[in-house]
Amino acid sequence: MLPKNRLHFIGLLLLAAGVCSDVALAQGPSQLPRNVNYLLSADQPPGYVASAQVARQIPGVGTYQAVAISGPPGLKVALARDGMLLENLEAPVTTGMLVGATYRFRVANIPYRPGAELYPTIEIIGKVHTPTGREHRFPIPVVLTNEDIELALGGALVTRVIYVEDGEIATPMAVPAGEQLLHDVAPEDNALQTADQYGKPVAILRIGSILPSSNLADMPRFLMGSPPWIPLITAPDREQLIRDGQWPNTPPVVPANEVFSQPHGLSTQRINDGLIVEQDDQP
Amino acid sequence: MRKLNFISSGSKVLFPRLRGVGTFALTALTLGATGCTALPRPGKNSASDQTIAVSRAKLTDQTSVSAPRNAAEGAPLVVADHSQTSVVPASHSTAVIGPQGVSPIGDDSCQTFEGDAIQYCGNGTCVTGSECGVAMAPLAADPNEFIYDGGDNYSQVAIKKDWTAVGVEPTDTLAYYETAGGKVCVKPTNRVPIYAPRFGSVRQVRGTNLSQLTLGPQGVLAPVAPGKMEDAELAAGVVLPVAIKGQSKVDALDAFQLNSAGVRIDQILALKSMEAGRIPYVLVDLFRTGELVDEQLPGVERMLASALTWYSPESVAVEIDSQETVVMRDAKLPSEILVYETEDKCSLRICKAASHTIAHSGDKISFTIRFDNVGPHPIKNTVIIDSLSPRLEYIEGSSQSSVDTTFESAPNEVGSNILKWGISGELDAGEGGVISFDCLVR
Repeated sequence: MLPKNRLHFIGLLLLAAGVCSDVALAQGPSQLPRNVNYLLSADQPPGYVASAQVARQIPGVGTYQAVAISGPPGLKVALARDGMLLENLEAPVTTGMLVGATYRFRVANIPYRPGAELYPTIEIIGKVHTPTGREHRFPIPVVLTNEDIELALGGALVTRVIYVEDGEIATPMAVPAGEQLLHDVAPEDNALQTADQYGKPVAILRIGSILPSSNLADMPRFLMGSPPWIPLITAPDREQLIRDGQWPNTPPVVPANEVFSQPHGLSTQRINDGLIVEQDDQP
Repeated sequence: MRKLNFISSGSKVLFPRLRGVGTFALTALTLGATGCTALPRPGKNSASDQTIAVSRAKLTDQTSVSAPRNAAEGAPLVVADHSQTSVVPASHSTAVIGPQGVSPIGDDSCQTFEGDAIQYCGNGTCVTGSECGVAMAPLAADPNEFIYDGGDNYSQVAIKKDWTAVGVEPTDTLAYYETAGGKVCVKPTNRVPIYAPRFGSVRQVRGTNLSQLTLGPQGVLAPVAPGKMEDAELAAGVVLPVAIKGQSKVDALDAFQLNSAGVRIDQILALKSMEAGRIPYVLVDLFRTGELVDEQLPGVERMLASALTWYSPESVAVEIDSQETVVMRDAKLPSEILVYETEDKCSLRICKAASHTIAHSGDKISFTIRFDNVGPHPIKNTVIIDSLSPRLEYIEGSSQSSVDTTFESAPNEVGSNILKWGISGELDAGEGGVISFDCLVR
């Protein structure tokens, strides 16, 4: 039988332990601010930032976000499903991926690198609020450049934090179709924080893995659990439609000086109920 | 034959529509959905007009309030009158903005849009780009994904003596002008949002053989010269007293002019200082001098009936020669109504619309600015300014106008253009025009 004062001491210890555990939980990712990622980093393992977004319940978590993977001509991409990689598809590939999930895919048929393969990961950490029905027209562009592929094949880890640019502080330069604004940061910098300052980060692309795990038992983990995705049609290229004659080259804009050949109001008659009628002579 | 109609809507917003001009009609319809508002028209339909009913009084119809134009050189001349007009109720706005999605044709087919394969999902719904039943979860809009143009955001615009505007920031679009009474008005347009997200990426390369190379130039970027901070402090201390002296001088001048002006509105102020119902009384000898003139008897009787209407529920009882006058309790209105404007209103209605509300980089967008003088008096020195977003690039030579204007284009501080149209001559009551120009989405 413990003395009474000893029981009180043990009770205080238990109470203190409970309080400390609550504080630890409160300092988890769910308590991070929802609009910035300063406390996170792209250095963290694939899936950590996405898990934090799920814990923070950012808008769009659990919904599909259109993602388009593109690269040099001839590049092929294979997505994973049910713990295994599917057959190669010709890039660009447009899919719907879950916000808050991490996907691994295979890149093959790399130009001038016969037999070489890469296994990048794409981590969806944000949602693009596209108008309904136009999701496939504004996918998150995952652009695999020749330079990135060469760096990865040479042993480097290339991390790209893809963001939606803030329109008010946008770079005042035209970006050709198929290209993307690029900012390079030093290895010791936080790329996620830099992307936060340019706009809203929506995805993290990591290119570095060259060989998949040789142990088949590790494949589900290597494939990040093979989260679900849905196929989407690739939006047609407008320039190609114009060349094929399926889309008008220029909209039928009527010059303003033809619309109003004379200053409005000179020959109009106002009526109290708001009707104005102007009629020219009969042709 | 060309026929121009104005659509009369319950929200008092007038939209021009041209038959056979698809794009312009589309642009005009956009006004309703982009929050374009209209000034109330003068007259009996305008709630802001002050109406004074008089039976016999003959008052002048026009009174202007003059505003001071002169101030210290370079100082803001007039604080802009950013009068906000009534917002069009959502139920009155037209929500048609271009080819908004797809809609079913008939029972089991869908119309195509931009060559997309459209899937019919039953129940009158069509889906582009996704499977039937798969929700892509439309969510609230993110301002990052839009290009905005129009309105007067952040700091308000002021007009200087040399008739230039200060405080025009990127994406601002506004008009400033001078009324017949000398008042300077600034009227921003509605804000036009265009959905055009642009993606960028931040790249970081790591590797045992690459880190050293990348770390090398890091030391060059670090030094910051502290001497410049002292310069900045010194300059601030010198400039501050000058600014204060100039400001006090402007205030004194403005105050003097405000007090000295107003000779022409003495008559109005005298009437406004009295109750409206007393106006008929002071014009009749019975109440002014105490004498009852025979020829005024019918008028007094009629006047009292009207006075009862004005003073309801109080009643008026007057005895004339020990006989009570006949009191009419019917709520008859006075037979004569004069609309009396006691202030010089800003009366330019200006709306802005875009030909597309969804765009990609490389697309061309046509903007249309419609302006009308909806007031009863002419306005002059009208200038329209549009400072473009950094995502928009003005296409040289695309500016057009339906009225005579002078046009200037200059770079703005975010790498785009600031466009300026000066409308030649006056805009008479009821006159207006259209300005349009094209931009390339960066």
